[in-house]
Amino acid sequence: MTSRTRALRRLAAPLVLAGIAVVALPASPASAYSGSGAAVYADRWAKSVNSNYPDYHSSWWWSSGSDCTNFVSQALHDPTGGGMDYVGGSSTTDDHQWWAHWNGSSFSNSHSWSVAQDFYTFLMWHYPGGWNEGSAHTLSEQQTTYTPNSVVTGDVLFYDWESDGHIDHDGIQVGWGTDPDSKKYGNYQDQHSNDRYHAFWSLIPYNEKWSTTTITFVHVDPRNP
Amino acid sequence: MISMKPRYVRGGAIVAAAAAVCLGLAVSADPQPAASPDPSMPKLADVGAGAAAPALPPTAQDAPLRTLMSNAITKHMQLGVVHGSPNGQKPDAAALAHQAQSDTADIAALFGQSQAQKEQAALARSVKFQTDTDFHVLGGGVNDLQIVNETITDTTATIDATGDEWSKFESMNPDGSWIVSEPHGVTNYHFVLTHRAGNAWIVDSYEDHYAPGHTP
Repeated sequence: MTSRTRALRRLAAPLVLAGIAVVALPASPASAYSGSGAAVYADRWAKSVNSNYPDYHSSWWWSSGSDCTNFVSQALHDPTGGGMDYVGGSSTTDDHQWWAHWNGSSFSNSHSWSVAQDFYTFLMWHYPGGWNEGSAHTLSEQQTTYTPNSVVTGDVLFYDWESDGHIDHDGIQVGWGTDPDSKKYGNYQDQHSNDRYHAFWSLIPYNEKWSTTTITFVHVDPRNP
Repeated sequence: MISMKPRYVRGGAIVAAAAAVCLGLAVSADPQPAASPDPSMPKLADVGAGAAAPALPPTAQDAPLRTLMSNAITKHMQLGVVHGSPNGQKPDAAALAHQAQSDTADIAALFGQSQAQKEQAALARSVKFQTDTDFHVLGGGVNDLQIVNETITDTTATIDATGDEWSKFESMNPDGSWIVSEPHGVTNYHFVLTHRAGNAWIVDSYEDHYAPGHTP
């Protein structure tokens, strides 16, 4: 609870460091990661943008219209979501770190916060971080109604469209039921970039490159502070 | 003697058909992106990232090449598609086998040896999963294919292109109902074409990647 109180001070108490106003984004809570909380956040913001964080929807050259990882990171971190602590805050390129800051005039964040491949690397490197729970590649695997039992609400799904080993996209598993757009039943996820709410987990109804896609499951360890 | 010097090269900006620019990847180019985009900053097309790369004005040679590329993509997307097969049921096994024979002939006509082997493997997969699973491919192809960069010699053409790729299929829900999906997305292509005897071009290889910002 204390951490949530701290979060409310996010924009109220700018610190002045070296002449630059530095304000932390929603402060890092002390409780463990809540997958269900992350899902609540993802559902809340699946079709909109939380102005407390960066927004990479626009096709400016640094973002390519790709807000997916930024969105999942928010769901994992936000005090109203998963509540997972930032890690580090000094390096943008070190995938051991995972953070986003507002310096009074612009956002900055680690690559692991906003780039799918770096986010995956962060979850694998960080302890307890996340655990690779396998992948789905074949048509029958992508068609399967449910993700593996070890993949639960609040876990992250990583997509590699060409199965070339480079992760291109991610979303967060938030439950199961009927995808409101495709009408396909099963586990579903929320995502940004192409903003989707309760999309069938493999995205096969939306992916004309389904025949070459691999989806990797990552269980986010609930012991993450 | 055949000259390998390019007869012409058009399109200075290289399209990122290799799709290094995927979800958020371009963020790495700027470790501290601004909250509000600066209007003076270059847009994607300006830096050659490919999503909105302008098409080159067509030349007389482009038309047959574009037709060939469109046919190759369409064939790839329609491998194992039994045209006229009714919705809501698996394609008939005999019709599927007949289609596979027809597709094999088309593959030989469109693709060079290496790419043809890949297409043949994709065809086998298509036939198998339509037989083994509750999945039925209904169609596929590409719309509005535009050349954005090309280098052509007497024997080889290397072409970057972009188009709206689509697929259509149906799959079964747990309750037994079939649902039809028709995804599409802007795709960047990188083609290598070669001349074969008879003055016809064939597709030696091609790669396809979602254009930045156009993922599912």
